[in-house]
Amino acid sequence: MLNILVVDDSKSARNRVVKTLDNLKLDCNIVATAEDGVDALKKYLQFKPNLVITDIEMPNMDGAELISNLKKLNSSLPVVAITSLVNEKIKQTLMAYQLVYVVHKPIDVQLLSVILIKFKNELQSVKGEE
Amino acid sequence: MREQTKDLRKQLKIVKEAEKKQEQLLNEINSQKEFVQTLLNSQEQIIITTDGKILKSCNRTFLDFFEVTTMEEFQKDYNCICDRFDTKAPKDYLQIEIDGQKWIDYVISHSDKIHKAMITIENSSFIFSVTATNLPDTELKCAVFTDITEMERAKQEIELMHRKTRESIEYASLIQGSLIPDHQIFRKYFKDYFAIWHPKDIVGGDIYLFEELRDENECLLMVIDCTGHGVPGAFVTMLVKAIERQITSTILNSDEVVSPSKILTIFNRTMKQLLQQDDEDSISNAGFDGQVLYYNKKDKIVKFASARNELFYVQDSRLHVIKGDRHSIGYKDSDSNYKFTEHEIDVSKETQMYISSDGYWDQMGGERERSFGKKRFKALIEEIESESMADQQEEFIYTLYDYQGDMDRQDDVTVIGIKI
Repeated sequence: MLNILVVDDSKSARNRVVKTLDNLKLDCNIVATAEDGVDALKKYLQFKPNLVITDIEMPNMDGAELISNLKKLNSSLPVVAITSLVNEKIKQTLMAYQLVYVVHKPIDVQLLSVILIKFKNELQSVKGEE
Repeated sequence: MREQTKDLRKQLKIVKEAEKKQEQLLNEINSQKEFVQTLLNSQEQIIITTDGKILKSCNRTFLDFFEVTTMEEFQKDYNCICDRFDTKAPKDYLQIEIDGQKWIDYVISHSDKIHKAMITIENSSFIFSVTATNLPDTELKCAVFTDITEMERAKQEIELMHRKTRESIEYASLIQGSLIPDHQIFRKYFKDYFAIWHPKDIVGGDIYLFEELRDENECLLMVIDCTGHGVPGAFVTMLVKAIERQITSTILNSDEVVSPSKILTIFNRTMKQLLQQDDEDSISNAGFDGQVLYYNKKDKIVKFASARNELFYVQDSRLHVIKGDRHSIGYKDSDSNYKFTEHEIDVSKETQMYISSDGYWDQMGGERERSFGKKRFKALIEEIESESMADQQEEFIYTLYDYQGDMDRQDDVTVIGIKI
């Protein structure tokens, strides 16, 4: 099962992601939501999710810094980064990390679903190997 | 005896007539065979009959292609054309057996698919599209091989060209993306903000620029909507950025009061000069529409000037609109000496400002397939102005997305919201 932490400074964006995940019926569990990078780091340590979906443009600690910090804690943590800027530079910078996918707003639900299924399969194969 | 002789003569006549008829029929069959063979030989495609393993007949194109004079000569080395299928061909090409079926049976049973075979002769590979059919009243099948080598090569060249162009544009989008200001810088000057930047294609003609000026109190924000979208639009944005850097550096090295109106005038003159638009023979008719917003945090003022597009701002829950001048920047028919109107807004009260390119309100959609329009844009601001900037951004994005529905995106979309 995917245990997901959803991070966005917009409450309506967080709700939208939670609702989208619910509709996808992919055996996902939203373990927590956070409103910026600082909050997300705390929640990550507290709830130990195996996937993070985060907005990029946020106050206090933005998505790029959050991903950098998360990767220091767990380099194999899959992350879906969501941005309102269709900017190839942001995409390339973030995708330099392993297991980071960039999705633009408005979210392409099909694309998100494909990414989540991929992460889920990878997680299952890692568990199988263990 | 006479009667017997008469009968014999009669029977002999019948036999002779039958023999004659048989000969006639044989002649007819032979001439039909010859006709069919001539017809087959006149075809540019290779046409063969086979049971799938042994070649039974072929046409002239087959003999010419394999450089043999007779089918028997070919059969000295090979039983079937399938023995010449290149085993090193890509996976989707025909081989002697596919999924446990003889190649020809596979082609017949999968007639909805396009089948390709590769035959290599002296290091030259030829690609054929293959169709086949069962022949009536026999176990034989007929296969037609059409040489599509040139077409495939042209297709591969086009694909390569397309890939290279795409890679080149994607790299260009990396360069254009680096013009977009770092979002953290906005937080130094404004209480809150949002930015939506959606080029229609990989690169776009919209750009927004942010510059810190002489001290930590002054900044410039611009939304620029250049001629067209895609690659030509992106070229103009690069030119705009270069001019903007020049203007900013002049401001940084002077004590002059910053004037958005003057900035637009300089943009106008420089664009026209660089693109030689004052020359009657000039073919360049590029330019842009755009807003320049100067904010002084200490003096709590915003100065604003615009070529065409509006500034929307909310104070005390009331929406105000400042219209842009009906004059674009650059373009052949614009006036080099045009002075843009400068507006000053007191922002000592909490103020939310929105500047946008026309891509948002020009987007077609809705039940009546009409443009979103400024009326809806204003109504949207009034509806969501009390929400956080992050939530407003969501509303801007998804309202347009819902309105657009299945219609195509028509232009680049840029909307910037700031809270002072």
